[in-house]
Amino acid sequence: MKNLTDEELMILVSEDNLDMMRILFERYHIRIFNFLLKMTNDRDASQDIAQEVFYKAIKYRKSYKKGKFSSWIYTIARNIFSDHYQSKKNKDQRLDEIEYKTEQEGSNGIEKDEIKEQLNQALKKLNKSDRELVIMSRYQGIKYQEIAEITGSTTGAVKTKVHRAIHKLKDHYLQNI
Amino acid sequence: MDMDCKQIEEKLIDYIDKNLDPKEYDAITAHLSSCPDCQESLNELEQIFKGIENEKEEIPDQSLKTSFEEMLLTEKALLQEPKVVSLHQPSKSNWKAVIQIAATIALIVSAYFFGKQQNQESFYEEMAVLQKEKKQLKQEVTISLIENESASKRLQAVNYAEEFEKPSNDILKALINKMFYDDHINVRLAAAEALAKFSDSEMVRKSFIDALDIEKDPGMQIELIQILVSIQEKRAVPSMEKLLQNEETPSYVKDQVTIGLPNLI
Amino acid sequence: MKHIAIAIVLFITIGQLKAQENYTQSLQGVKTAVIGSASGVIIKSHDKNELIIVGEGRKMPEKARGLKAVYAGGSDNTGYGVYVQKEGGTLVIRNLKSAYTGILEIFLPKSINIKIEKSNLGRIVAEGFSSEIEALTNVGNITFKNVTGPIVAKTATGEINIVFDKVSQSSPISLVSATGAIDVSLPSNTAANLELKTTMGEIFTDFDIKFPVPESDMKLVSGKRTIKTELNNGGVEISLRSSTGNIYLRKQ
Repeated sequence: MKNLTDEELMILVSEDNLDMMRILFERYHIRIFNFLLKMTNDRDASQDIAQEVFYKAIKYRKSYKKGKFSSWIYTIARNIFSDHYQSKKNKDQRLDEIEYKTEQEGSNGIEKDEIKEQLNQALKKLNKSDRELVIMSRYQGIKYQEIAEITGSTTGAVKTKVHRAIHKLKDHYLQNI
Repeated sequence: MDMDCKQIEEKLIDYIDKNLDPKEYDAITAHLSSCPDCQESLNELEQIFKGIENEKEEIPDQSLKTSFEEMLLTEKALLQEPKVVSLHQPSKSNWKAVIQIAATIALIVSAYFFGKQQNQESFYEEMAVLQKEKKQLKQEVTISLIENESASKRLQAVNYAEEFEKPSNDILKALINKMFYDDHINVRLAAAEALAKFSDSEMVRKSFIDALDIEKDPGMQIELIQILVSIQEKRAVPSMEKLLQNEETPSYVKDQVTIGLPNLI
Repeated sequence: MKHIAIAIVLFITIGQLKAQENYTQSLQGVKTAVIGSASGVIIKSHDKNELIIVGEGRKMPEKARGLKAVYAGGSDNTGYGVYVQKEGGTLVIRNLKSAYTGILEIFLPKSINIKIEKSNLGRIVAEGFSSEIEALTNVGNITFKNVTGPIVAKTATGEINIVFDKVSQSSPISLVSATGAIDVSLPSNTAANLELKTTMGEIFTDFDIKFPVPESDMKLVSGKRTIKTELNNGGVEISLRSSTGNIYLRKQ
């Protein structure tokens, strides 16, 4: 079973073979958790949301339409993430107002890497959608085309936005030093 | 190919990623060797990318996996629901529960995918529905888990059962069955202890009296005596007196009877 | 028929040639080992996915040369006085030797679930398992070292001694003894919902249990028959029960 692709596994899950989700969980939970952790800088919240991601993936398994699994699971993760930080304002606005925890709690590394800290500071200064693009593209190594699938955009537009976001990150980063 | 610094700057990320055709790549390499500004810009980007690359993935707490497994178990039990019901007597209320759950799920799915304008209020309604759903699920999970081949899992089911305020008759019957017949005394003791919480049920009280009458294990005997005394079950007096008269009863069990009996007469 | 004959010849041969070496069997696809033995059982863990029955010390009497040992409990299909049979995901291991002659000593993979059924006499020893263990014995002591649980164990008159490396949070741990003591060591950071119950015995611990108790190094916290408390904000259920034996719960 472990040789099956993500998509084959998810099709089995959608046919009520729920145990297959365990393999997908093994493949994805650390990635999803790290995506959320970079977005929020909050371990507890990231754990909770990651938990919910897999819960919803099972609950809505019938809605999986044989597309790329990783895009599908990231879409779910983004939705839940937005829901968690929902405010009464319209969506685009509120996405930019996510509270980003300033103090990293419970970080494992005792010696705090200087560059990492600077990068986190710079990341924090980006708006939510720029931050998300930088995290997906550079921290998680997701290809432009797949980011486009996840965010409902085009590859070209994503690439341009990612580049712009990286330059902004660089500017913030340099200001901090 | 001629490019100014602005254009170069825009292509530096692709340059680092080797995302350019060879001609462009060479042109930028050439420019960089003669333009300290662009070279510095490149260095800065590389430093940032290096920093990102060097960042280690954080590992979530074990609890993420544990709760995932729990959730999976719950969902699997829900799938098997119709089978579980048919094994026990087909009761209407159980079917109703299944349909209710199915309806709730449908509701939540539609709310989730189509209700983009969801407001706080409907969110709380959804939560309330989920809570209710969770309780129903828990009953089903308990029933199916209590027959697991792992003794530890059976204990877990008994612990779940103990948490219900008003367990269904199915759950009480399953617990009574465990108290009488489980292979492990550990599970039998835990089942008896859990049942003691539901001693307002006549079925449960009766089962304690019957159990003491036939029980051979001293540990179980003691547990049953203590429970019967604490729930003031006078009908257990003959069984207790029988234990006192029986030569095979260990002395420490007899002591429990001697301590407890006066409270019942 | 021919195959069976060959198999029997093979077994006899193995029995004779290798009686003093180890018996090995692959555990491909096996999740649980069920062990029955009238005498003591010693189980050690190793990193290979196979069963090893330690043959050392099992010397055939000189007079038995050319003969095969036969047992009342079943057929000796290993030549080691042990019946071994794969049944689906379960491996059945039955020690055929009498309670007085043979301790069963075997190696199993760290992660295999183990059920030891009705070992009447003799001790049960297991070391180094990160899997679920069930053990049931009447007279012997139960001793587990470097385990994680879940564990469900019961002895009538023996003692239960368990040293946990760490405590698995997956499902409950329950230890029951009728007259023997229960002695358990847990890592100090163990998260658990603890239930300690003894009818006639006493409870000793150096864990910080929320009760007003007299000062001493190992505190005596009996007087009340059941103690329920949380360790490190609660976690997996750990239940220790003894009718007349003492309970010792140690920090390590």
